[in-house]
Amino acid sequence: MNCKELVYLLGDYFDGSMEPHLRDELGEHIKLCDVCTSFLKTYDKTRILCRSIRCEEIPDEVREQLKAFVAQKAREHRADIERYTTCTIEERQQFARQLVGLFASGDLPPAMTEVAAHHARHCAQCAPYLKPGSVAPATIPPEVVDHLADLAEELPPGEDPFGD
Amino acid sequence: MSTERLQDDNVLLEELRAGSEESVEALFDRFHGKVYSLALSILKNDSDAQEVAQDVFITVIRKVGTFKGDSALYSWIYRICVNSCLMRLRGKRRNETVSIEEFMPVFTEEGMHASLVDDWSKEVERNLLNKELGEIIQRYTDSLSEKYRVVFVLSDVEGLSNEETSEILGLSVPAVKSRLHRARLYLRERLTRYMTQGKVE
Ligand SMILES: [Zn+2]
Repeated sequence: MNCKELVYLLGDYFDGSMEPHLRDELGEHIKLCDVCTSFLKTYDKTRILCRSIRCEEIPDEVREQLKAFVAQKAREHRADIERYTTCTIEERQQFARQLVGLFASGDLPPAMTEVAAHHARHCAQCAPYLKPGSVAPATIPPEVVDHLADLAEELPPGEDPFGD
Repeated sequence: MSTERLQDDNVLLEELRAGSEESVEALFDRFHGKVYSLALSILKNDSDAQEVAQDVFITVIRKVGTFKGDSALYSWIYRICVNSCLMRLRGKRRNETVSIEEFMPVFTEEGMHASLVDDWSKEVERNLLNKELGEIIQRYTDSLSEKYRVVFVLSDVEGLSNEETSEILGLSVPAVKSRLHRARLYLRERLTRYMTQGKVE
C-alpha cells in the first residue's frame, strides 16, 4: 500500500468497513511513514471537530412557537378531513338518489342500467331501491348508498353513469 | 393512549392517521430537535430552519396516510427535511462555493505525498473550545457545495451511519462514502492551512 492508496482508504478505515488484510497493510505503512501518520491523525481530528459544530438545543421560545404552530395545523387538517368526509357522504347520497330515480324512470344509459339491474338481482338489500316505475325515497340507507355509489366503478372505462 | 405506546413507530403512525391529538404531540416531541438541528446545519439560518421545521411537520401530518412504511419513520422525516432545505437553498442565491479540487491531497507519480503534512491534531486539543475555531469550521463547511455538504452534515455532524444517509438521500452507499471522504479531505486541508498559516482564506 502506498500513501495515495492509504489516503483513498481512510473513509473505510474510520467507518470500520475495511477488509482485515488492508487494515494490516495500513498499519504496516503507518509505522514507517510519518507523513501518513500526520495525515491520518488530522483527518480523524477533522471528523471529530466538525461534529462539534452541531447546533445546540433549539431555543425554548422557538420550540414553543413551533409546537403551537404544528398543533394548530394539525387541528386545521383534521377539520379539513372532516369537511371532506361530510362532503363525500352528501355527494354519495345524491348520486344514489339520482341513480334510483333514473333507474325507475328508465332514463339511465344502457351500460349503467345493465350494471344496476345485475346488482339488484344479486343484492337483496338494494333490490327494493332498484325497481322500474318506483319513486325514489327521501333518504337511502347508508349501506345501500355505499353499494350504489360503488356501482359506477363497475362501468367500462369512459362510460358516464348518467350519460352526461 | 399512553405516551409510551406512541414511542413505537407503527403505533405512532396509526394514531397519526386516525388524527389523534396526542400523536401529533408525540411526533413533535420526538422529532422537533433533530429536524430543527438538521435544517439549521444545512441552512445556517435560524428563521429558515424554523420555517423548514414547520413545513416538515405539516407534510408529515398531511402525507402520513400515504406513507407506506417502506423506510423507517425517522428516515422518511429526515428525507422530507432535507428536500425542504434543498428547495429553499435553490430558491436563494448562495454564496459562491469553492471548487474542492484544489484542496485535494497531491501525490507524486510513485504515490507518495508530494509535500510534508503538518500534524496539528494535538494543537487543537488545547483549544477545543475555541470559539474562533468553531466559526472557522462553520465557514469552511458552508463553502462546500450542496452535493458534499448535505452528506457531510448528515454523516459527520448529525452522526448518522452511511447506510442511513444513503437511505435518506436516495444515494448508493459508495456514493455517500465517496462524497463524505472528499468533504473531509477538503475540510482537513482547509483546517491545515488555517492551523499552519493562521489565516482564513
Ligand atoms: Zn505514507
